[in-house]
Amino acid sequence: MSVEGGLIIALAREGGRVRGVTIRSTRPVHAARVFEAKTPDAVLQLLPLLYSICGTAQAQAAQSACERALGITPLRGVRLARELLVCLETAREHLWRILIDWPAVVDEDSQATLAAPLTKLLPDARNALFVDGRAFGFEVKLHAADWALHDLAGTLDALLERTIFGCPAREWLAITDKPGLDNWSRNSGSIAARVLRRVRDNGWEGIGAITPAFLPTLPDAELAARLAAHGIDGFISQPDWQGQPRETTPLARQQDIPLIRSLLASGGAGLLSRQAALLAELAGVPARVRALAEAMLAGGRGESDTDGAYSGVGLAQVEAARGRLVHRVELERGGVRRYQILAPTEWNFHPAGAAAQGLMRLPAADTAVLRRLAALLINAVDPCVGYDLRVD
Amino acid sequence: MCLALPARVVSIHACGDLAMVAVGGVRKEISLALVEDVQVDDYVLIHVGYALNRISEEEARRTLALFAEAGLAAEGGT
Repeated sequence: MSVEGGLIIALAREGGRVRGVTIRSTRPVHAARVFEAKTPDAVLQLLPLLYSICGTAQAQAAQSACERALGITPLRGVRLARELLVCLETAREHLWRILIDWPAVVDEDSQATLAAPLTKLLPDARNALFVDGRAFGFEVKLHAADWALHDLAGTLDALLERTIFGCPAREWLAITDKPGLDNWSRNSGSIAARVLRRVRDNGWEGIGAITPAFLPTLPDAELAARLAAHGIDGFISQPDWQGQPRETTPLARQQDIPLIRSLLASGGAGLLSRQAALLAELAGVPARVRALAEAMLAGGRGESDTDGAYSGVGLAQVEAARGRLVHRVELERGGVRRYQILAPTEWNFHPAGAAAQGLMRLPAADTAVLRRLAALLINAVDPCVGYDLRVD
Repeated sequence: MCLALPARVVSIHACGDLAMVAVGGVRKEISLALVEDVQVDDYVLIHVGYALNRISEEEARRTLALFAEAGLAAEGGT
């Protein structure tokens, strides 16, 4: 395996069904130790270099964890602008998945070039919002370029309509059930619609369906206690909550919107529910960006709550594209004594977690079909690393 | 985890979407579809066969130094 590690996912077949699923991770969950003995400021400068996949969510989590440890409260406008950048990153990651991974379902090549304008939108927004494009650190400054905020949601809307939905995102979000989704996929020519159509025609909508155990809201204090007590070799590499592996994915976040609630009720947490949740979350980004931009424009940027007291320990939970990302820092004499990162892939690809459970339920009469369906399901749960799929 | 490797672009295929990059001592082919205007000798961050964004030579050097400090040797591919 390469430096960033990966997953080795092995399926054992027997009598037309999957007899066993083994997921082994070689991800370097120890890498955050490199921040030990560094100052919080140095951590915020270095961390985006190391964790560049979902680098904005990673930087946001590090920033919040360090601020809480130090008792610093960021300016309101800075907080909103950072949240806006995390939203744009989520949109970019989801768009990449749809345009890069999904075309294989309909035997087409990746359409990654369509994603280039959105790839550029994130650094453009960062540069428009923050002086020198520096969004993270303790000395950041916002630009007064309000025009950029007005343009952002509209640009995103137009891009998503053109590449994914074939209609304004808010219209797509008015779909509340499977007949409505079928109607959209029948009538839109976008790659996302054609993929959903093929999934339906092939009878793949319910593959890998499980009864999901979504990760609930976690109280900071309880989560911090688990991290402090268990550390690298237990909780961070194979996390559980209240004794069972949990799922933290776009499906978990979108479970309460009408369309996803309807799909979960009728077909469980299978392929279609996961694909629809990704689309729903993507469709919701322009409205979130618009709301954040309006809050920035309306509320002034310089107000700040009073700083808290130095505690020396900080924890942050950030919703990154693939699920909840947790950072925890302990400070001592101005430097980092301990730095811990708990990433969504460790929850979702836990050896007994959502991906493993779904893979166990795949039809396995034919090795080639099993391999194809397994790849579809793995991509739908979406690890943030490469994986090696083995079928015996 | 969640890491992307810095790589130097060695050559760009005539189609414009594929490039040969050098990661440490290893060469590999990657897609440039997600990044616009990449030139030979630019540095890019790569992940699962794609260049994600262009970075400066200085950023590439600092990133590789951090990988080494974290005990991660960047001689592999994705």
